[in-house]
Amino acid sequence: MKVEQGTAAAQADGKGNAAPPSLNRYAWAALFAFTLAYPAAVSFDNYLLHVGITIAFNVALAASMWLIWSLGLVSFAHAGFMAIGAYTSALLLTKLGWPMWIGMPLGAILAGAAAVAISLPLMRTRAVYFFMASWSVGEVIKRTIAYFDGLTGGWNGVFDILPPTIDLGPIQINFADRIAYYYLAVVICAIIVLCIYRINDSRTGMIHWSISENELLAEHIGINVFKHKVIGFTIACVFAAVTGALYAHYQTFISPKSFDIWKSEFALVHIIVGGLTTVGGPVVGAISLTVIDETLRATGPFRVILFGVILIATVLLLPGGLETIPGRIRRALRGRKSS
Amino acid sequence: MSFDEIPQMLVTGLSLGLMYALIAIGLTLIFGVMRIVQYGHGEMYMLGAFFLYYWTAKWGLPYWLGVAASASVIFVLGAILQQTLFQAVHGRNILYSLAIGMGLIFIFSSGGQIIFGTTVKGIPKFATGGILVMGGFLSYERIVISIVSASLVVGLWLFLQKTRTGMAIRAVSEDPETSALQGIRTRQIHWVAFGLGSALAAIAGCLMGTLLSIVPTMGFVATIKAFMIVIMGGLGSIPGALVGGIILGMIDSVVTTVISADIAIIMSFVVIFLILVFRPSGLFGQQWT
Amino acid sequence: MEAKSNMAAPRSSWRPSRRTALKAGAASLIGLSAPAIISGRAFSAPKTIKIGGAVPLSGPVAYWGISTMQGFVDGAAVINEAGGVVINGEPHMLEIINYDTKGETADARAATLRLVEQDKVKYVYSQAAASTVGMLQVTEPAGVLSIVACWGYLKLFGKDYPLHFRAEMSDYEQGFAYIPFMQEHYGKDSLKSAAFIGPDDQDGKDCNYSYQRLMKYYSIEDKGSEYFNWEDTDFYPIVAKTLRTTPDFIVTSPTPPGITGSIVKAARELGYKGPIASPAASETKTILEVVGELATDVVLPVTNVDPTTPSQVAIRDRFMKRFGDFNALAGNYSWWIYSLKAAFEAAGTADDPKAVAEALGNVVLEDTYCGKVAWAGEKSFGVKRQGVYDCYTTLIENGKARLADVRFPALPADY
Repeated sequence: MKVEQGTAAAQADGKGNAAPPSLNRYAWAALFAFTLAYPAAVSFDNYLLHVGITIAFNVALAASMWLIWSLGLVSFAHAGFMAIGAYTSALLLTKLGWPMWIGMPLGAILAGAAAVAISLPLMRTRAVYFFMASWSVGEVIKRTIAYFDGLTGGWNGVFDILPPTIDLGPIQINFADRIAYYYLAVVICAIIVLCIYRINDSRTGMIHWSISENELLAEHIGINVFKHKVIGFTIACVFAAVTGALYAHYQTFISPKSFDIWKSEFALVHIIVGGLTTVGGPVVGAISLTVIDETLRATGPFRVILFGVILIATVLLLPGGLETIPGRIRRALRGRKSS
Repeated sequence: MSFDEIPQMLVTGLSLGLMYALIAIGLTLIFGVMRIVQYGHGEMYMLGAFFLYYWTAKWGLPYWLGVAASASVIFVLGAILQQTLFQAVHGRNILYSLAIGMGLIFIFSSGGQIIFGTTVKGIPKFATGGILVMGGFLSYERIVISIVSASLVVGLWLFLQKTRTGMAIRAVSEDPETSALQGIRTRQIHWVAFGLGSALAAIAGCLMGTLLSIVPTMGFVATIKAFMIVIMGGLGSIPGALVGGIILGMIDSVVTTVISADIAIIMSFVVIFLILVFRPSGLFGQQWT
Repeated sequence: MEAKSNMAAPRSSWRPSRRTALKAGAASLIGLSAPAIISGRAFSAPKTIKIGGAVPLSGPVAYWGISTMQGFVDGAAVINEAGGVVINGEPHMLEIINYDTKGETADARAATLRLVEQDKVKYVYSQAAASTVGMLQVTEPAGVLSIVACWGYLKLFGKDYPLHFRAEMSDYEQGFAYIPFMQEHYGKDSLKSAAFIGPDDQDGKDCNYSYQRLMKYYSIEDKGSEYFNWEDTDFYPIVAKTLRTTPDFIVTSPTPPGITGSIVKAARELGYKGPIASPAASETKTILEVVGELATDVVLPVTNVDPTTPSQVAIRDRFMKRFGDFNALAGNYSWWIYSLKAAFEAAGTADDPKAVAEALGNVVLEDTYCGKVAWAGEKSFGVKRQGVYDCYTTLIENGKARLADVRFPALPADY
């Protein structure tokens, strides 16, 4: 699993890259400005806002999974931790009437505690074995939720998970409004991506990549590999739980099936298609694939086939994923100038 | 639970486990040789079963010849997939092979629904009736299928131990560079092993499809089972796949009969988790990095 | 107010040109379904009524979704060919739009949002519980009429959901036809106890609830319930556990035909002799293929595999021509669109889903693929929103399937 990460580590901090870091910032600023202007750009079309919200969820999920990936690990427990966040917030609202503003942080804390507890044994495993062990964790979380149907509603799921409201006297926002929820989702998603970007850009990020590249070597130069793995994994799981709570209050209905293996798998596909080495990869991957999936909806039975073809074609024809496109363009331009 | 159910449970678990092992051995073989994850392995299992369905139910040709034909056709398909798709990602990050495998799942299971139809199908039986063993019923079909699966596992093991190609496959799994230096054509070994692994899945599909029923979407469940087994047993290890298969088959059979099916599936995941925690490279695995 | 419609009417006049059939087939294949437009050209810019489907066209439950879609695509073509829906003397053409949901709740919600908010559809249909739950989140608040096949989630049905229709009889309604039939066929005394096998998800739990109500109504002892996982491959263990309770008969619900076949096979191999009823299998070919000659005493309600009346034969032939395929399930769903047409005409509008819903509840169709069809459930749910129709029960005996019984469910007085 280590083959390509040599370049990955070099590019990850943005300094090994030929492009000046400022350009990177402009791209991020442009993307964020576009997401803010998006509702007006689509003239407040409710359905397109829905697509935007779905994209925000997928971006947050893929980006947080990518944080685990920067440690050299692929976690399929992600959907499970998303379920913990979603169910905590949903049940606190439906059983106790506590709003999402309390449920979301509590869900995140619970998921964080669970992540620490589970990662103590989990981090003994490596590479593909970690993948399978984390998959087991995700499945057990999902099926345990289904098993205790008295509390969780079992396979029937939880209904009426109302969106939150803000009531500050003069300012009143009801997030049942699609535009309001769009901005809520976008802001939380942006915070998650920003946090991951900052972590990755810091010394911790460099430690992550050094672990990913050679765990033994990292340990020998005095890095506490185990500690970093546990912390990195926990942070990512907390983000997944926040996304889960956000997801639950938007869908207003969740069931264990909402958090099956495909949630994790699609997040992974978003990362692979987007690119493995920068946080831009999962962001671009999640945006483009969600748009493609929505567009393909009208093709009925061919929807899934076409998605598969696009997936394979991207992997084969665009090694390194979508994130390599700017570099390719730059190289192509430079090549033309020199000739 | 009464005692006369014990043989029943054990035999069900064993026959199930052997068939799981057959799918899993194919997957582990491919991983061992190429160090890639063939996530679409279950689709070979599905296609193998559908080939046999058309062979026997539609064209009325003999059953066992159909199993052989199915294995051959899927061998070729596997080799072609290796040459066209997987060779390109060989040596690159393992995630790329995972993505291609996922793409294959989408294409084959959905394409299968369009070509074969969405209805469930059944492969005609080759034997009926059965015998009572210590109060437990065993159908002849199940007995024959268990014997065939067991002999295939043994046969494959002998093939890998005794034949030139088999030894070459093992050599490439151990150390690709050195085997290349020794004059083994590793590229050729890649597609041979890939085809062989796919053919094993196809045979498992034929046998399982005969015992149960077949649908175009059944491949993914097989992939999940194969993955659980292979990783539990240790990637690249054939004894590991066999033992893992039987453990999973026994959990499915015994825990379902004694407690319930939902506990059985939770239990199988918990067992895998515990095995991996205490033996981080699976039961018989070496540490792949 | 009673709007009657005769489904057989168009059959003699309906002669599709090869081109129309091909076009319709191709269109339905990619789910875009344009037959309304194709045959609608003859009229000078007629009004159209859009009907949207958020149905599973891919994924494990595609079988149900595609069967449902076929009914609407075929029905729209037939209705348009015969002059469309006539509202206050003015013909309206039907246009069908289909979006895939993969059978997932969130995906179904997205598909319904697209239908309602982008395509401005006022009438939608769906299939299976997961998609229905997703659809209902959208349609009811938006004032959109929905027709679905969904057996569970009874709290999402009735007075609080006045625009929501469940066209397919659930295992509960079917029970009032197939249990009396079984009692007559096997003798009341040989069916004193029963056991239930179903999938371990909301569908299985909901059907278990129906099963328990039925057993109570008919005073049959319930010997317990077992649930299998969709990931399960071998049904020996679960069947062995059920047989330990020695039930007189077994109900497998809502279990698809393949798994029903596996359950029957395991039960017969393990020496079980009692009848096995499967209210959701609706298929005989698979069961016969899977079980072989061991298939005997399998009771399949709402399974009309061998059409007999002229209108049933016409539907089968048309489906074969248009889609190259026909199954009993598609036949069972084929009347939905005609019921909707009758409601448009009775309500005198296609713009007001509330008025159409009002009219739809009173629609009675006499000659559909399922025989007589009506909407019922006023006393149970407060509104007539549950489709009820003649139950064609097929019986498999010694490896052969035959239509054994046709009867309208003898619903309890308080239904």
